[in-house]
Amino acid sequence: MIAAQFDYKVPNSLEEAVSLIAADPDGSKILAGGHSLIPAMKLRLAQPQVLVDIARIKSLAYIREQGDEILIGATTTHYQLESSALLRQICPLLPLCAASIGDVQVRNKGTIGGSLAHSDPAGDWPAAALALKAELVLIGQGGERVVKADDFFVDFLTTDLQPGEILREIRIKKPTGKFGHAYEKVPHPASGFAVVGVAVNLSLKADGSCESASIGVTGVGVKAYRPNGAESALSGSSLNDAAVIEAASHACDGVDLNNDLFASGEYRCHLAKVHTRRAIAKAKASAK
Amino acid sequence: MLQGDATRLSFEGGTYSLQAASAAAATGSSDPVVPVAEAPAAALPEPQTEGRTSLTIQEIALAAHIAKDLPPDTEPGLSATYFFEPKNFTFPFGTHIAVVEVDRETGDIKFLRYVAVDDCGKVINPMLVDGQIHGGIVQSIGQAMYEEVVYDEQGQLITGTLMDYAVPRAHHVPHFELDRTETPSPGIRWASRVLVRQVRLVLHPLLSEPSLMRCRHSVLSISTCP
Repeated sequence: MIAAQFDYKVPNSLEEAVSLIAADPDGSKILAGGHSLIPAMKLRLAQPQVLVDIARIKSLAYIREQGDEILIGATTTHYQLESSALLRQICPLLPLCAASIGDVQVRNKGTIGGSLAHSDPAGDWPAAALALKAELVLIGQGGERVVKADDFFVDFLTTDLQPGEILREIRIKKPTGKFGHAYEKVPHPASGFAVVGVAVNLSLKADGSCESASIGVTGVGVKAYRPNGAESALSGSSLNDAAVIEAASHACDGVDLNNDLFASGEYRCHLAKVHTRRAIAKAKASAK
Repeated sequence: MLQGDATRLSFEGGTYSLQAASAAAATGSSDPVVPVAEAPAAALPEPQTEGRTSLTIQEIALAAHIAKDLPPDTEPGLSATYFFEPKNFTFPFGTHIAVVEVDRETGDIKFLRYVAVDDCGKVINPMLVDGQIHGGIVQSIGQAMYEEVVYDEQGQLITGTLMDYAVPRAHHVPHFELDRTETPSPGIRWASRVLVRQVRLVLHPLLSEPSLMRCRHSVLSISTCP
């Protein structure tokens, strides 16, 4: 439970952080809230040579509207997202997801960027990022690139982040028209991580039928994913009970199911279907 | 009364559900010392001050320890060890009712109410008694619903951290509605009963297999849920 030896650097700006990790791209790790990385280091699952702590770069923590987008700085804490009056109004899925994470202490320290960059198979933010079709802004010495959430989560604890790159910003298109959000989660009783988490982002037509649906599911497979069968079953449907049940039945189609002490793969898949159905119903009920 | 301090007591079994309180209540703390204090009375000095008819405990203790004029066959000192055996053992009793809602689709159990009425005889310290009951209920909920020590086939403990082994926290347990009756215990001077963590014995069958917990594990064939 004691981490291997490492160097610790505290840059004052993003530019400085980028050049610090450029010096040793493979041996460096970015530290923000430390709620994913530090436990991994204590178990020696991660043994970085250099930790570059970006939590004190003030300009990396923000939530703002810009044109038709919402911009979120990578070191914005779960609590800042949970308590944002702006987000509750224009994108409630973010505060809903934030509120389900850990406890108050964790939410005050942990960051959205850290959670996304870690891609824990039981993390909450990947589900919300997928459901909101977020774009992630990555910066390295070669400049910036923007990656869609769909392409960002690659595998178990693996993202598209390359050595020497830092996740700087999360960009989300502001939901427009009539829309509804919901996040349903079964927390593990000990760790609080998601055994199953389902984020739903519904766009409705004036008559209440479904214009489009995007859904993110976490906890069920090696990484968070979008259940395409469920989304396409909803799209254009009337959202009546039968349509919602049919859509939810595709919640874990084709997924290599996680299987652990607390929940078998079969039980997880069952929970994913139940909570996908409930999340769709909640999102529909909350739509305005 | 002292308990739970091995540096001061040669024999002690921990608080063990307030057993010591009950034992102290049963004996009355001054009883064992009185016969010893009486024994060297003949050797006690006269009060030094005119008009005084009593001695301080310090004067008595000094005389008993110096032991200059003790009668024959009298042990010096002013202490006694007393082992107490009650006429009969005492038991608390009570009834606990958990009102729960079972989510038939997921097997989740939600407490709607938790009502407990216990009787431990004469209550000496209500706060400690409530604490014993709170602790017993929470331990029971943990045992029935969350806690399990699991080893893999190689004998490796795989629930070795609090990230795997679920100890119930505040949000896992319901509000407790507690009440008590006080039935004096016969044969115990202060009529208290040992409030054993018998609560656990009460609650465990309420929540554990083969009743509610079966729901969680057999949710895929929900018909077996009571």
